[in-house]
Amino acid sequence: MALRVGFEEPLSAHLLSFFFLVLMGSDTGAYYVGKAIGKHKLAPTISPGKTWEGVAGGVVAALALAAVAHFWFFKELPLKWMLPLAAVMTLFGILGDLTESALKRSAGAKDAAKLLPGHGGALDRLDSLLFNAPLLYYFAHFYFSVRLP
Amino acid sequence: MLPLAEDATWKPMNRIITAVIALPILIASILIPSLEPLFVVLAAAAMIFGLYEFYILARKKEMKPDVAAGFLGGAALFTIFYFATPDPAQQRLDMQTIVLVIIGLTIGTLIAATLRGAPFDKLIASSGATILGVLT
Repeated sequence: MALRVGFEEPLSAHLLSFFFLVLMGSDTGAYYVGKAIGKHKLAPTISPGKTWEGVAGGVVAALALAAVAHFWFFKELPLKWMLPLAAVMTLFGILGDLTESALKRSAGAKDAAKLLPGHGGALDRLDSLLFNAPLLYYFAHFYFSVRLP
Repeated sequence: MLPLAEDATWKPMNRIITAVIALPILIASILIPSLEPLFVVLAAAAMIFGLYEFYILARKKEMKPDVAAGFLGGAALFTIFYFATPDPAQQRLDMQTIVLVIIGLTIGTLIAATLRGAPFDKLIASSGATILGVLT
């Protein structure tokens, strides 16, 4: 919400669209790459299903979707900033995912709920967004405050 | 996210369908100004269901989060954000109001837990869960 209201239009809409496109895309990419070729577990004690191959798939998907966002609607942010930002966002997303997994595990629940088919509950969808919202907000705050009048 | 290939619970089509339908709708609700009410509804739904699930997890650990206070605090923060603007003077006012809501939520939750006669350890854990759910 802070991303939505913290900046002038159309920058706020572009930031928020970039946010969801990259994170949901990397999440999906990670899921399918992990499913297809996942062998090496990332954090077996916290979340046994996560793999390093999935992480790589998530980063690649995030980079591809960041490039799509740049050429589609978000030209304000050059690729030399956008691509590293997307990679860092993916890693923050995984940290959020692991944090929520640890929370669920300590509570003895596999999924927080079964709200969305194939996705688990709302928390399972929101976990990767949790740590990234402040990251993108402050990145945009510093980057665009310096460059805009 | 990131599951192993041998996971028997894999439901690929469900995930594809949900992603293919949900993501474009979400992006459209952000990029198309006339669809802004849809974004507000989606954000509110995410907040409500996320908070609800967080409190379910807290209850599994025998905490008793104050659900009514949590949803009230969440609704107050959501309302502040809904009417917020990028104007610096307005942002200062919004920030003060957000701090006021969090302080009110903290005090109110602690008072309610105390009046219920909860022991100190349960009181702190339950109040903490109530407030953390709203903040996240």
